[in-house]
Amino acid sequence: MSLIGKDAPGKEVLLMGNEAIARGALEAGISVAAAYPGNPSSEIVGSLAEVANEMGIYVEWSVNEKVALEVAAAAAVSGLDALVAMKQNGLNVASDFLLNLNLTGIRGGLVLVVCDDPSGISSTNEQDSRIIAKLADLPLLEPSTFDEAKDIVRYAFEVSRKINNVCMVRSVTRISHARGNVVLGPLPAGRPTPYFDTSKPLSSLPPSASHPVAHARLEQAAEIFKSSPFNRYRGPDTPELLIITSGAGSFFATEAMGILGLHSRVGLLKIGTTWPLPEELILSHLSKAEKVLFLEEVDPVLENNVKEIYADHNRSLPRITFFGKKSGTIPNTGELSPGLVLSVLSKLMEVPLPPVDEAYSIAAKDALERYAPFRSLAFCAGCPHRASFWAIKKALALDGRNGVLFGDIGCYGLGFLPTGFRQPKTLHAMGSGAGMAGGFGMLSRFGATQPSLTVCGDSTFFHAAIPALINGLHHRSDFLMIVLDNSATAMTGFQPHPGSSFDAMGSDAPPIAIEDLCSSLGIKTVERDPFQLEEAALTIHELLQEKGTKVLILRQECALVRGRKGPRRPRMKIDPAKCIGEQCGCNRLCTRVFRCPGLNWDGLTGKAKIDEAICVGCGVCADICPSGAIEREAS
Amino acid sequence: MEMEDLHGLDELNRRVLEKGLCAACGACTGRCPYLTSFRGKTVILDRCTVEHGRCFTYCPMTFFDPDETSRSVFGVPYNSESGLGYTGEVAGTRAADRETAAKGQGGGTVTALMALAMQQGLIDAAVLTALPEGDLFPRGMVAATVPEILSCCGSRYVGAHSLVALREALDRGFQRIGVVGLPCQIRSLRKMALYDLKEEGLKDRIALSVGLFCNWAFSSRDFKAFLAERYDLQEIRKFNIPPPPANVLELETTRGLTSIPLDEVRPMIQAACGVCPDMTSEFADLSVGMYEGREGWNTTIVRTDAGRSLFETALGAKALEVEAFPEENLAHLKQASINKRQRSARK
Repeated sequence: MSLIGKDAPGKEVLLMGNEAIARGALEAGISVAAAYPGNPSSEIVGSLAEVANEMGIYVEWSVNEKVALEVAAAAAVSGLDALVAMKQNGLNVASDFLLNLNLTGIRGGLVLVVCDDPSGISSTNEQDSRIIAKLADLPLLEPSTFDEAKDIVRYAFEVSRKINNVCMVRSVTRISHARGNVVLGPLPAGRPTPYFDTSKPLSSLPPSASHPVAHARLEQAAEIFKSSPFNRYRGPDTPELLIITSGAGSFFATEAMGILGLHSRVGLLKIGTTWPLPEELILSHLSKAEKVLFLEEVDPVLENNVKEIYADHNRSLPRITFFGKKSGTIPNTGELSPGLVLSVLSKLMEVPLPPVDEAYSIAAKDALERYAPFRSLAFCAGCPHRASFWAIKKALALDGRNGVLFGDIGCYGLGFLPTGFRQPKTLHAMGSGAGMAGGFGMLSRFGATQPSLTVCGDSTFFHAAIPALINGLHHRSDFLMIVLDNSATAMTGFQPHPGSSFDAMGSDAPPIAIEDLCSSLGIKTVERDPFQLEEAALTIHELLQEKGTKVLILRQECALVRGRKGPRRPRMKIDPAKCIGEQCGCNRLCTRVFRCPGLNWDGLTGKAKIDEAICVGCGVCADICPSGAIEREAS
Repeated sequence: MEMEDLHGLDELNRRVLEKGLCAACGACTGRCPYLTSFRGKTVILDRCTVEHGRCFTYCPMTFFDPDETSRSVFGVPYNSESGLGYTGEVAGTRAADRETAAKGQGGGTVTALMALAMQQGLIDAAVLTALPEGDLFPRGMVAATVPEILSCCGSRYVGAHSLVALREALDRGFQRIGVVGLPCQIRSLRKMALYDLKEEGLKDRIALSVGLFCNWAFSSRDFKAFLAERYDLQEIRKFNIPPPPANVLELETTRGLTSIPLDEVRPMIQAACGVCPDMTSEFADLSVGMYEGREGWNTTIVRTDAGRSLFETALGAKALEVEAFPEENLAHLKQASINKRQRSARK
């Protein structure tokens, strides 16, 4: 059984931040958890799904984040506790419902965990979701350690139940995806029976009445936060520099202060209740400060809100110099890092950085190169997306009208890079490719001649592409939607989606066939195997010549899913006598253009080689080799 | 031409493809993973970084040095005044075999010559055009037997990328290949022999070239679209452009003969043809075209030793019927050829 389900109060275990969040929800006594996967949030509901049956809770991978929030809210308006988790982009999807739910309130506990991805390491955007809490008049908590991640979620449920509204928790990559020690708390026994009190309908109408109620609930939260154990100060009574921080910033500051020996000179005020802020606590520290440094990731949220408090009380406070994103001391985008905080503190406090141990640096660099060799971002060996983009590239070249491929979110977003031959020309939000392709397909009335097409994954299709497809169809848009169906939500870890025959808890679920859905709408729907490159390319070309809205499903299982099922398919080999390498007639097509990681270029012999460790035997390279030098070895 | 003047795909694109000057000869597309012919157009599929590419070097539209070519083929510099290029005998000809004569364009001379060359062992393969069942336009074909040669005849007046079949013949290992081509294709053959970038023995392996007379050819993609708007493509059987002053394109369909004014179809002519100065395949071993005013006959120009040898063998074997070509016709042919050169120079 997974660690997060262990009934062992007081036991200290090593958990990933997201697992700690999940454990916190279990300790709070949730009945329902729902999410749409998205890094860095996926493991929260992923780990809850693993223990759902044993713990007797209901867990689902919802079709999208808005529906996930709605599913969780249904439980929470019926007296249950529910958790919903998403990444920052997902919060935008859910926000329409969230900004109505906040006005009606709930009758159980509902915690919305949003995991931000500073620097957008696995995201298309960088966004500070804390601002949404202010916008929605909802309380927001930020954990700084793994242990705290668990406890703060349990606390968030208490707050939510007390104020009868959603409580938000914001995590970041370095909390969610790192591991640390967590002391397990007790797991509650028994859960309430859900009951929706129909005598008390939930409606935000009129907003003129419900909005003040939301404000009152937020004030209630502020009252609770006054004594929150998650706001802590450590340092001298009158520090030379006061650091105000939250989230991962607290980690980095503690480490840097230790290295620079600043514990007696610098004070660290760690905030856990980011919205609304603990005003009295902050004022008490500002009254003893001359210099304040804000350490936080992405936007100056603490910085602006503290300055607001300062402005309100400026007559009773000393003159303070503020350092942060506004002053340029801290970069105004991207992640914080220990090195960054170290150099900022070194400068501000005029303490030299400790000498670098050269031997250690060399050893570290060496280890990095040895264990994590540089690799460009690329599709896996045997990935069907590479074949799909190859077919699209060919079809567009044959067509010759400079067709526009509107991209979408998923592994195939990498199509922007050489690994996908730079075929997609836009990349925005889930389902946006379909919406934009539909829009572009209506522009022929103004003289547009470029064909319009889009790609979306199977999971993305269900998430947000269906309304866009229907919109295009209804408005007679001329566009081709290519569904890259690899039967997986591959980017985030193979979670099931409505096309799957099982659900998050491993139960059988009725799969929804994309082709049936499209055909039922009267859309011309064609299915092809992307590994049949030529046929796929010509099919795309033919569909581009046709008017109207068309769907092509390029179906081939994700190479990773396939790999888990058994030994690879045929062993590939290269006949060096036939390989003409860099010569006219090839010019290293396989390693220079096709670029599957399973193929290597041997500069010494001037021939291509199969990387036996990586090749999964999809065989597509044999079809692109112009010299017939790549062969499938009979098994 | 020096190596430094030979470039790759990017330069081919700049000089020819981007400008719409591709003649659809097919010299560049055979076996190249970066170039393909698709429905009459030459398409770039990806960037190639080969410095001296066969695509650029063998393309008749990138550069062509008539002097260098003439010296290598005829042993003398090029005479631009002559009108018909370097010529030996010029004669009226037709296939002696009535069936061949009737099936071919004009008098079936080309088919008869190629069949004879195969019979006599002068060539081991012929690169021709054939019309696949149900297709409107021909494509290149390798014929390795006389019956295969006899199955290929008739003109469709389009760029057909038929030299793709020459690459196939080379890859299949044929050592004495005879090629029938348009003037642009004959130019390409001569460039292949001159530069032979991959040392494939092309000078010897391209053993015979029979050039056709050509004023212009349609872009097959554009022409097909034009026809598709007006006819059921399945009904079209044969094309013919009768000599002036008719000024029409005749279409034999299953429902009878129709004609389209040439002015209506001129916009479908390949731009490359407008800048081509060569009407009579001046660098071929033998050139064959229509015999204006004499239905069922061809005009044949003998140019090289190889051409003369085949021609004489054909006379000896009575594979061709021959008659003298009148002076006034010759003068008229020269003038037409000079006119094309002058028109091309103005572009």
